Amino acid sequence: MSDNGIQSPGESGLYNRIAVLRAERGISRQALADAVGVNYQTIGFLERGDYGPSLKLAFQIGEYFGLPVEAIFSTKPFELLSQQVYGSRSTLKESA
Amino acid sequence: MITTTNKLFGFSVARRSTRRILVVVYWLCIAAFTCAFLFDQMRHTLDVFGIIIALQILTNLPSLLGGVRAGGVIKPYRGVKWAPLMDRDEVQTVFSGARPVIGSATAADLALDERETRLRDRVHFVSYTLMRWITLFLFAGYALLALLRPEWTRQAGLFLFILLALVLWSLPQTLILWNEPDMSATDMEEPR
Repeated sequence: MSDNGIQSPGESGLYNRIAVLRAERGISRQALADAVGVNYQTIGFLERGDYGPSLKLAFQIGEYFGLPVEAIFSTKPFELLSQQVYGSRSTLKESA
Repeated sequence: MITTTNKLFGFSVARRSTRRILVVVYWLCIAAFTCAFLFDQMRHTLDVFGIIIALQILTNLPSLLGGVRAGGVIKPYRGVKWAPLMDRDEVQTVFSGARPVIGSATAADLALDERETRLRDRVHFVSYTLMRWITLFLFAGYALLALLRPEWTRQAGLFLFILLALVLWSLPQTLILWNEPDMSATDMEEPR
């Protein structure tokens, strides 16, 4: 997911929720980078979808957030969090 | 892959446009050196002074782009342990024997992560592919010169060797500087 919140797979062809997860937990790029052993610039590349991580790095990120890899990375666009939380009510409001 | 300080002589290289200007200036320097060397060698016979100047340029000009030691615009290509020059010094210098003037080495600049390692390996492969063609054309040019003007082959041989080395030592860095996207504001922010 890009920084402005619009889902885009970028050059890697992978959608991800790293920016959202980082924001909701108040974690800086540097902290995440230190935890998974990469440069903090690489976190930016991952968030924008400009770089597809190795399997090892994807699992490390999953372990850091305590989530399965498929909750963070996907080849298809993620369902909006508002729709996941509020279901059809959110959809009805958008269509109204 | 771009150094975390993002600076060269005080100028930020975080933006790709700035880096491309640097690349153009660098290759213009090589073109100027090429013209000056050719002009000098056509007027004089091969001399030791010319060779020393050429060697100084050969060993120092690629330092501007980095890639060998920390402190350059590009992080050093670590992980190739058999390369004798890699571990000699930690910090990039412009002129051999002088103090580091380009920048200082940070811990982040001494290690490449998986994205940077992948990028480094890819640009080296692309450089190798390009060098195959460049070498072929240089050889063809030299062979043509040997047929048409055999008296120039000694100077031309040395010149072509130095030019080939300059291109060989500069091409991976050039590709990285030219293609790496802009660092976003959050990429450039000071690590917290």
